Amino acid sequence: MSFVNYHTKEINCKIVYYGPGLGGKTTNIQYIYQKTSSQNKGQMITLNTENERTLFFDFLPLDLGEIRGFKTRFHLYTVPGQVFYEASRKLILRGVDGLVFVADSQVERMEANLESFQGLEKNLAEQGYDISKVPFVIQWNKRDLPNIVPVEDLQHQLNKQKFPAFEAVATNGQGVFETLKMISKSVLLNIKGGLE
Amino acid sequence: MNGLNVTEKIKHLLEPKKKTLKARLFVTREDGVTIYDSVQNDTTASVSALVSGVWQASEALVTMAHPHKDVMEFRFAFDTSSHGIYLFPFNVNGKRYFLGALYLDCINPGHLKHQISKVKEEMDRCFFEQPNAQLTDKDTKREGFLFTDISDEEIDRLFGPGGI
Repeated sequence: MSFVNYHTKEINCKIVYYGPGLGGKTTNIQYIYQKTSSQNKGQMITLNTENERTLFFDFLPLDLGEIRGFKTRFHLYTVPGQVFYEASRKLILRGVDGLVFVADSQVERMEANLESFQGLEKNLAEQGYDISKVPFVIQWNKRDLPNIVPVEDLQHQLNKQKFPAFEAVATNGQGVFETLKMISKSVLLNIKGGLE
Repeated sequence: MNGLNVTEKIKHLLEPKKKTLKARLFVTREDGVTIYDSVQNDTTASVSALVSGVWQASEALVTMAHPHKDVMEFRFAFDTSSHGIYLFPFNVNGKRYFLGALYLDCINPGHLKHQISKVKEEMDRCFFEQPNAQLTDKDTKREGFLFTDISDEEIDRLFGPGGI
């Protein structure tokens, strides 16, 4: 749930990167962290396993500039992608203002993409969210790899609601900020006037 | 304290405690947004996110064993005999917040926890004694969306020089 403090003129928003395991959610956040100047970012938190798989969440606080006099602060979270961390994913979705679904473009990961997307729809519904009303952006990641699904097929199978979608190669930053800008804009436009 | 919003009231209450409590004192919303932190640095937002995560995970565990238990009765402690973290939940206008203390090299953690619980009681009294009408200022009555339009150029400026 976004938090607007009219007295200090600050906006806080929560954006969650969701998707199948090894799809590139953490890589997105890490790239943003690397490319952000130190005065615009806080400490990045990574709660992961010994083999660097996300265990609970990654967290990156971003202090951006002002928009119409309001200082904007985005809290970026990733969920653990592995199937058995469903309980953790549900917790992290609480209070979400915007979602980025990071899909793995490889043919052999289509089933995992579909399973993760269906899980997201179910988890959102359980918490009273209507997926069509939550700011939502899809990222087709790993476009540099061989054996990838054409974007048209990905759109057909995973993006029936025609959410904004971007091709990406998160390891080199392609599409990372485009995705973040789009979700940021959608989230800001969705902030209700009421607060606290 | 009439006329102050929740954030300002909390700050007004906690700021004087900084001198007497030998701990990092903070208040976060349950979604991980910082309301107050006695130590403002680049870990402030991370502390709030972790507090939110650890409480939610603990709550999920407790409700597995006691599905109907009121979790507002719980506190959270993770500590040794000299340092640790202590969390209290509290409600304001139906929204949940956490009062927390992070402490290090504390000679008497029991005494510190007692002091924190007194602060929490003081906050409960403060918000309980204020009629809801006084707690809700004009901001809470705002309707519609904050921004009706934002251009791509404005977003680019947010992420451009001066932004990221």
